[in-house]
Amino acid sequence: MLARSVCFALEKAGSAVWEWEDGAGASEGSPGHGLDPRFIVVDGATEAYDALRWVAQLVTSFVGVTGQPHAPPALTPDAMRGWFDRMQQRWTAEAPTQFTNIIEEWKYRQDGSFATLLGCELTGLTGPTPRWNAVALGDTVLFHVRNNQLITHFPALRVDDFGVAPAGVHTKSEGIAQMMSDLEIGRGELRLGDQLFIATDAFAHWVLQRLQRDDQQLWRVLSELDHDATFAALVADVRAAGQMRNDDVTLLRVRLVAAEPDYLVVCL
Amino acid sequence: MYDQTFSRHNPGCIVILLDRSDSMKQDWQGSGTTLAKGAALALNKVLLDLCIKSTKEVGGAARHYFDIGVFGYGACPTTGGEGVESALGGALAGQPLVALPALFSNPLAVREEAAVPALASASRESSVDAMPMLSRMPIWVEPISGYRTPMCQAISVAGSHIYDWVGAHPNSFPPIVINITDGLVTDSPYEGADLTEWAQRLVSIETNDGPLLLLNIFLSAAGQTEVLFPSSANQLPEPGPDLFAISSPLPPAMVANARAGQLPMQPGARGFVFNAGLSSLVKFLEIGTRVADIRAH
Amino acid sequence: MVAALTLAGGVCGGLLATPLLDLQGLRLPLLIAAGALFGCALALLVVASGTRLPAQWPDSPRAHRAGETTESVSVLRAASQQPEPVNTPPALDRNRYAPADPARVVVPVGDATAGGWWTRPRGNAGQPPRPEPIGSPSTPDLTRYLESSRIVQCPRCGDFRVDLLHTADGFAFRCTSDHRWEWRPGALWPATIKVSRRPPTSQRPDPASCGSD
Repeated sequence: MLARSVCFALEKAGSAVWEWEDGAGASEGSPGHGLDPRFIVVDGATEAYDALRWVAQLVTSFVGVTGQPHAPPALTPDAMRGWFDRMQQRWTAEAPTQFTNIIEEWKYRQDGSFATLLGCELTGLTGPTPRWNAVALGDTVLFHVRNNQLITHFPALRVDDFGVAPAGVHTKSEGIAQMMSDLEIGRGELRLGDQLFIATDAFAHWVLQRLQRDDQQLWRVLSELDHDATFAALVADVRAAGQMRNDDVTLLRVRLVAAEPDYLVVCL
Repeated sequence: MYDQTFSRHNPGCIVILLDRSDSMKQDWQGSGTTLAKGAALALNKVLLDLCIKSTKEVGGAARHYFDIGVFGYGACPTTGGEGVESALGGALAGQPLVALPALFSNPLAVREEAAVPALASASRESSVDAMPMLSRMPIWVEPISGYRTPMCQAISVAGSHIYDWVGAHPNSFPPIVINITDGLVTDSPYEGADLTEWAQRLVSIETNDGPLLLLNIFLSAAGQTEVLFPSSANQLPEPGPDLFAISSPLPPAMVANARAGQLPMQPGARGFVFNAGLSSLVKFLEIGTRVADIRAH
Repeated sequence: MVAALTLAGGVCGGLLATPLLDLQGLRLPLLIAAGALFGCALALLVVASGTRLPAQWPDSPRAHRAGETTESVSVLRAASQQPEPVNTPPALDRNRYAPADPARVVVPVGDATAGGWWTRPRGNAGQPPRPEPIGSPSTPDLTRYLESSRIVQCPRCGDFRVDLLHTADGFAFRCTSDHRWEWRPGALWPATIKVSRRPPTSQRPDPASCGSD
């Protein structure tokens, strides 16, 4: 069994493309060679200091791109604690030495940076019990779908749980204890043909609302997305209808397939 | 109601009414400073926080998410005598409402502020990102005290500017007015209306997102028992019942903010704190102005 | 009234769009939105004609003399009204967002080892089942197409706009940011990182003014 992914994203309406403050990483690995697939979606806080840098740091480290000083963290409390420490130390080590003004310096020292996170690893894809394992801080959500039906979502947020200051990954060492208290760890069993959708809060909230209304077409539509313009049109439609809060959106889709692709699809 | 987000297209309006009467020069028990100095420090800190929250890009200026007004009532160092005037100084002197980018770019001064233990404590309690603050901070408001407490006139003057602002921003989140006082109003009735009527006039100003929010905080120099966000005025001594009566019920976003800060909130809680110490003033100002936090993420 | 006019405008937009349902999905929502805007504009004209004149802030002592009954002060309201909320939004229209030509190119992976174009099979042999146009009577099962395809995305920036060239044993790609990579069938697909890249300060808009956030 292999994992194949695609990531759709759209900035908040009215913002520039580069102002999109989410981030995503996908390493499909090589299950037959012991390299398990890893995926992550991160949502940087708007008011945070240099959220773009914090998001990029978390994404590249978790996925384990070439050039990272450490291996990606295992999805256990101890390993995640160590990873949080390393991330905070690296953030501090790469801090600016000068600031544009006193207010920016206050922002860096008082607020630091912050982001919600959903990280996922797929294990055992070549064995009898393939699984997804995930860690979460905040309101970025993983949806496990089979035959266009929701198996589970993680973390188990309800529609009313969105909109309040979520948990997340802070750059300040004083935040570690709270982060470890808020950290959630989940897992589920996978089958061939299953899909995982990882979405940041505005999109996840909309999905949960659709599920409340028993929208039979939801997963078919999301499964069949194969063009970023179609994704943008979908998001524009639901925003215009007042069904989705105007915020950066990210949707990372992972499909469990049997073989390498027969076709490459290039969006024009 | 109270659903609108703060944006450059629909900025919010935050107005502070700051008591500058003579009694504000009293020592503020437990804070290490006077009422006037403590209130100015807390106010400068919350203005700094608004600037911080409104900057996104590294090296960028604040975004125009808010228009800000600070009206001092009592002593008027600029116009002289007793009355109401803008408490902002320097390049912003005399301006009733100031766009946040202008506030960001024009502090009155950047100076070393002596550490105030109660303020540092409040900051640690209110934020998970507790680090030793910088000793240098921008200042927009100076501590002033003198004369009496013309609170009705303050509402009249501020209300006039807010009324015009709402005309230009009909779709914005309703204006938030925070009244900081330590004493009894001395000009009721003013131009034929008493404090209650002036407050009713103020809260009748509304945008499409709801009526203006009037929050009141009564400071106590003597360190008496605090009453935070009550749902009734039972057994409050003067001027508690009058200030409670003119305080708006807290909207859900502010209730959520208060609960996130571990403050107990009863159903029907009003935006009112009685006998506040300095740390409570800091938290009160944060709750009143951090509505955007919940939405921005 | 506003809701009715907006609905009427939306229906007009939808009727106008009906002959164009075979277009790719982007145009249809734009036409519907244009219709809704038309409806809203009509509604605003109706509402504006009935707007009360704004009252004054009471700066005159005559406005409230002592002893008069307190009356609530008239307030200035915006001319526009909020649209009525939709309590039960309809299910997603699958046809609206289903794959359709000609927005994408599907390249058989097998082409990489099949030699030049003159040796490839003629016609549609070896092609995946082509997605039906939007609005066709029956929407096909796209499972085989989706499971057998990889949607190409730049691994360095997530860009979908990619040039593809055949190489001796695979493919060479280049995105609009000039990121280049190669891949051959059977090899690992490179890890994809999609994060924002802040442009130089001189290329950013003034943050203090424009923008809807």
